[in-house]
Amino acid sequence: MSLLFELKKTAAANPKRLTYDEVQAQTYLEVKGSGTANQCPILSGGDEGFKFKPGSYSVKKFCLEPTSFTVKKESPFKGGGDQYVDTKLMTRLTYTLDEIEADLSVDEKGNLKLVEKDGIDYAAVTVQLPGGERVPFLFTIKELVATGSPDGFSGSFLVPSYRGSSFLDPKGRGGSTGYDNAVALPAGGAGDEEELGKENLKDTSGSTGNITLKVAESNTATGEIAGVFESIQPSDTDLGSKAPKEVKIQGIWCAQLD
Amino acid sequence: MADEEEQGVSRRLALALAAGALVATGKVSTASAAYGEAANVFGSPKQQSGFTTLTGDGFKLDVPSKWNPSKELEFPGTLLRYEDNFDQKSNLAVMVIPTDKKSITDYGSPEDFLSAYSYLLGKQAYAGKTVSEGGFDPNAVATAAVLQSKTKDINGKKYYDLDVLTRTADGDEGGTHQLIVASINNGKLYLLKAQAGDKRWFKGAQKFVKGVAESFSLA
Repeated sequence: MSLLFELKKTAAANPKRLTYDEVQAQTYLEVKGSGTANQCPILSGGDEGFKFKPGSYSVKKFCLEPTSFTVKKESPFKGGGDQYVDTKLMTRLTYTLDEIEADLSVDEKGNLKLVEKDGIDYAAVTVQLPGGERVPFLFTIKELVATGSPDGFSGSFLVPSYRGSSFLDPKGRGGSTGYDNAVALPAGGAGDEEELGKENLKDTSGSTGNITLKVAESNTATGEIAGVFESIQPSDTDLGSKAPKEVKIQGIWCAQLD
Repeated sequence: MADEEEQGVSRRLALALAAGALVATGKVSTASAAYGEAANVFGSPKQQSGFTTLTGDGFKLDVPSKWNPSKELEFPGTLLRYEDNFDQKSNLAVMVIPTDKKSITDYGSPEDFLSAYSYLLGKQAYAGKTVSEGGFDPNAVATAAVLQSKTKDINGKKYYDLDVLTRTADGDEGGTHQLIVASINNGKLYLLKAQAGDKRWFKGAQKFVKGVAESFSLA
């Protein structure tokens, strides 16, 4: 999971990566339509590894940029391992999380604890599996608490429901609003049948995902750190009516420490 | 001859003086120009306040003229209920509930009074779990915020005046402004609730709803 490898993976159609100061120096028209807004800034200079002293820091402009989305596919053979298949992105370049604030504490042994507070910490993404099936999911790190060494600190986060409680499905059924059964089906209670219970009763509860982050380089002069991450989280459950798929997201991240 | 002329002149003078005095005091009701009456020549322009004053059983209230009476009994003790002609979300209701308290201040602060009568704002009927409502607490799809609360003193009686904004997760009308005015008189609690959605509030309903709340007074 090296930083260079991850960076090279997305060299295809994306603009040249810029440092934070270079990004701030761009004008609106230069950024518009170029894809730069979806990229995390890279470090200018700095050393390998996590070089900050123990203490508590406040993390600003924590940015996570995925470089690959893969979805777990159940193996058709019994006992066969599950594999993650490559996907095609449907929702274009809007998947990067940014401007996230967090608290980072470094203890004497050099272990990190990152507690996420708030920011643009969710992004709705839809990918397409080979075969045409579309998998929407909410890429997020809400309420993340990650602990561990700088070489791999991990934790779990909250994945809210892709749809809210007031979302109506094509038959007008919703959680906190809308119908509560399939109206317009023939009379005789057909709308309220048990088999339709999955579709009639909407479930907007959230679930959890896991992420592992690794610090690749840091710059103590400017207070920036950067690295790679790998996150596994469930996809959309269509308000409780279908089983979620597991999505693995790999990418790079960077942050500014105060 | 001279006497008659003098009398004539003095009578004419008296009449002119009387007419002048009447015009000066402005008590001439030529403004009401009903059919057959003289036109509104010297009177003041008719004041359109947009409200009609209603006197109920023990209270007085200005109701917006374009609002219609409604037969709905939303809360216990409703005496009257008026709603906007085209939008039922803009309405007012006066409730009278017997009580044993002597003054509205016996309930504590205006916020304490509101907690005792929180059914006026409605209750959330959704019991499901959700963390996907942005701007709402987990599992909450409706919330209320007290924007302003004050204690008024009219004719020696204390009134509680609360301005509440209730919001729901589906963003219905951008939230509802609910103005609640309450006071106690003769062992009865008089409650006025006037509301309008924010969508109408900033387009002019604010003037009407605030006018209703400010005009509510007990006999």
